[in-house]
Amino acid sequence: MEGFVLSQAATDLIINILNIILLFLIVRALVYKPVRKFLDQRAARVESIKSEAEKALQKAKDQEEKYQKLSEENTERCNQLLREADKTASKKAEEIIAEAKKQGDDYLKEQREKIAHEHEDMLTSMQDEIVDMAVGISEQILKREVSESDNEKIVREYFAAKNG
Amino acid sequence: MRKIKITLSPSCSDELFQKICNGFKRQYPEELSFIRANDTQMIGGFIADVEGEIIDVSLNAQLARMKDHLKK
Repeated sequence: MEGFVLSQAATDLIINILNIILLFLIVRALVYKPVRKFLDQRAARVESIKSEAEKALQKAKDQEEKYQKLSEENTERCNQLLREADKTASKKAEEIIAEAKKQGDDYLKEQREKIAHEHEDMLTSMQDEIVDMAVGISEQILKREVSESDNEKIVREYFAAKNG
Repeated sequence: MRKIKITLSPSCSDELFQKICNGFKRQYPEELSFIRANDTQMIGGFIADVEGEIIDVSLNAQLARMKDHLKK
């Protein structure tokens, strides 16, 4: 009897062990390998996505650097254009001021010459008027003062000069 | 006969006119005829018109010359 029970227990044990082994093999065949495969595939996808993400990140960084560089160049270019524009505007302003000053000086000179001429003309006119007045006064005085003897003297002097 | 027109002030006497005529008679050998003209604007002296040739010995002419000289 004890041998039988022991043998039954052993058998059960063996059967259980075989069941476990069989179960293990079944699970391994049906579950482990597909799951493993699934996990490997997922890991590969993740790795791929990670790789692509890193590439994209690197590309983005490269773009950022490129745009940063372009931005700096454009800023420098803008500053340079502003400096040149400022320089050109200053030069133009100086030219305009110089031209305006020259026109002003020319106008002043012209006006001064005009005033000088007008002054001279006025003085000449006044001088002529004074001469006219003086001669007019002389005529009036002479008309009153010239006598017969004065006329005789004029006639005498004329014919004396003519006759030598 | 040469004609001479003598222009004088109206206040000048006939004696003065005659002296002028005598002066021209001494100058020109030919026979002369004289005409007297009066000019109220004449101050003194005389103007003789010897057939187109004008001899101006008037004070008016002297004053005009003096005026021109002063204005230059």
